[in-house]
Amino acid sequence: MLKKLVRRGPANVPTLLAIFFILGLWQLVSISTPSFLLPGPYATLKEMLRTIISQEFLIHSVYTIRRVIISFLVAFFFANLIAILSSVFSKAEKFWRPIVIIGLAIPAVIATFIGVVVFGSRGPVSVVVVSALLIPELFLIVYPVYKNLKLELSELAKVFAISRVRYYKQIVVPQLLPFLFSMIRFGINVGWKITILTEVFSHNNGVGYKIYYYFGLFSIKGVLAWFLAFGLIMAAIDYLIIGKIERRLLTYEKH
Amino acid sequence: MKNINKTSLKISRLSKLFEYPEVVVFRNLDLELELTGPICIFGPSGCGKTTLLRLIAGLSSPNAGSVEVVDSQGKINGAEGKLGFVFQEPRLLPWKSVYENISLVLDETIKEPSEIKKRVDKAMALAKIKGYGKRFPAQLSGGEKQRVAIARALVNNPRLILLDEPFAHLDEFTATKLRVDLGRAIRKIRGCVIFSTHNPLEAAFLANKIIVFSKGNPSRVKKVIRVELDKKRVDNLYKDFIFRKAVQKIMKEIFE
Repeated sequence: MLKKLVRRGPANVPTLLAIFFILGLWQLVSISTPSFLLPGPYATLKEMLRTIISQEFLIHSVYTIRRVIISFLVAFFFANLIAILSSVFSKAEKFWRPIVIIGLAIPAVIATFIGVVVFGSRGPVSVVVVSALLIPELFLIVYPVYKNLKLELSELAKVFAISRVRYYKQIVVPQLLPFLFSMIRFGINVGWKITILTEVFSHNNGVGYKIYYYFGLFSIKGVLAWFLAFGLIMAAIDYLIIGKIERRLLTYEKH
Repeated sequence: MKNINKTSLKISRLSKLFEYPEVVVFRNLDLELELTGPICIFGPSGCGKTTLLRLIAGLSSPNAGSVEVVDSQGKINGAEGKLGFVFQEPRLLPWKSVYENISLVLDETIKEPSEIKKRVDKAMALAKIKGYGKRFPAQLSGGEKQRVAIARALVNNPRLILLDEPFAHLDEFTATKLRVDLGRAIRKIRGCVIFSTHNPLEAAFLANKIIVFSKGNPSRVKKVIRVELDKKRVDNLYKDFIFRKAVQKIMKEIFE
């Protein structure tokens, strides 16, 4: 990514300026604040690199990533299921709409508290809370797509006697694909932040647990280092894995 | 057109109405016509041209009666038939190349890649889009997109080809060129052609018989006009304006 930034040269000047602006502002504020409250960018980035290569970070990251993936998959499945049902049956739409609206209004902290009260501070709290919070959000992305699947393309399939398999594979799924990728990106990116929050309150492992641990030690450097290190990993997953698959599958969008 | 079999369009006691708001498009419509060449369904907007083509294609069902295109082997329209259809707008899949858009509708029993290529190339040649295979719809002009739609309608060598105002959305410069090319393609294929238009010149140029509809509630057939002109050598509809009498005859029916 950095190589790409450098190779493109002048075109990336605004991006590089934004990065330097953030780092400069951070440095400026940290100079006028005691270092235990806000360490400077250099010290924090050094701590982040130390954290990222540690075995402890690897172990706790795996716990968190596993929770993010399971929660996302559960939410992805149910959001699609509810969206399909709602787009086909108007009664299902009327049933789910108020539930979705209530789901959207619940803050993550409250959902986590309720989760801890119901399930105790261990077990599936994280997965249940994150899935429950993601389902309404993902539903909002995908429901209009199912609702507005192009009727004229189903007529095309009918008039040319295209088989059901070919119709779904080559006409329906490609229509959904850009929105499914939006769901994946949104779900994973929002999901990991909520997962960390639930780990703060309900688990004795995971990146959220470690952030809370360093917060308890009044080590803001540790909090920032763990948060930034994990954020970097998630950004890499988003850019290098999801983005790559998306670019490969949606090549026609370039034209 | 090299149509050897005797093919007929049979419309018997056809009724079609739409609800909300209630519009009676056809009521007890009867018509029988031998398809000795391309047939045009002609009339002003709202007279039921698209509705009739959709009924023939099986995309819509009549409230009563029937509409059939039959040849010596039986019914060739609707779900039982092997159709080619050109919609008013091209209806191409933006995520597929021109080649893939055409091969998508190809008979699924054809699996051999060389046979698929042969069929698609032939259809592309008929529609005059040779060399466009790798392009995507977003890279094509309106006229080129409609040529792809025509190639897609021809790729299965259908026994019946339906075209619903295929050039209605194009500028006259593009449309007039496409009419000439479509006329040539029609003469090279075996299938029967039924198309709709509200352009009298297009009707006279492409069709051998023109069914003139009047607008009403319900619509009715005013007249069936025969056009017997040698169009083979026509390159430019406006330059070689041999259609004046036919066009006047059609328009007389409309304004009378």
